[in-house]
Amino acid sequence: MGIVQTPRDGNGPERAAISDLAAAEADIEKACRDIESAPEHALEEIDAAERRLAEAKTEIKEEERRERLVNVTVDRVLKEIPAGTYVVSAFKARVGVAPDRELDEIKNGVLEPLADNAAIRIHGHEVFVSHPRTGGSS
Amino acid sequence: MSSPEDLAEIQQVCAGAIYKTEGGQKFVFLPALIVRTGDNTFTRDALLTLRAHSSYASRLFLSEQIPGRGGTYQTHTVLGRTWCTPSWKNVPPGRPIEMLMQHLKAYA
Repeated sequence: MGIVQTPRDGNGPERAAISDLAAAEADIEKACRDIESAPEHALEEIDAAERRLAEAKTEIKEEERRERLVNVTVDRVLKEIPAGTYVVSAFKARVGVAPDRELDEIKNGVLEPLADNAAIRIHGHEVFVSHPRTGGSS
Repeated sequence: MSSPEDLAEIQQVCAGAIYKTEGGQKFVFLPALIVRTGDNTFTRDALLTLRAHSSYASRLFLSEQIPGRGGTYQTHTVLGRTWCTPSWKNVPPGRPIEMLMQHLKAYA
């Protein structure tokens, strides 16, 4: 008895990996049922299904890791960081902006100053510019 | 301080930004620059000096004053046009977008 092949639906690597995982689990269940009727083949099927299960889990983890990392531009330099919410001071540390510099985000063509204690949500493709804290009224 | 990369960077906040020169002094002309003051937004033509100008480390000239912001303004004629500029000092030469960000603090 061969391993049941589940067709991929073409909706991305993670969905394919999840589909593989479901197929592997189904194979294991089927192999367990087969043990009673044909023990010698069932053991081989269990081994093969377990290998597929392990591969599918690895594939899912790798895809999740890739999805969390996004690109942002800081002072013209592309940085790869995990998506998510950051306090601005922590974000600056993460992308290599000195604490004494002020950070602005360019949003829809407008400079938006960011206070160090503010929170920012990083989705990917954001553009930031830093500058020294100089300038003052005379 | 006046490379194509610098210009491309500042064009992200003012699409029509271009370099202009007068008497050996280089400027960035910023047409229809958006200036934010708290909850209000103003649109002004602006001219950023890339080096020291009129006793200041750099200047950001505006086509009109921003009401209630910038303190005392002076007027200057540059590139055949009269501009106003606030008493905002100590913005050293650097990347134009960095200089612009520091000058805009005068209106925050």
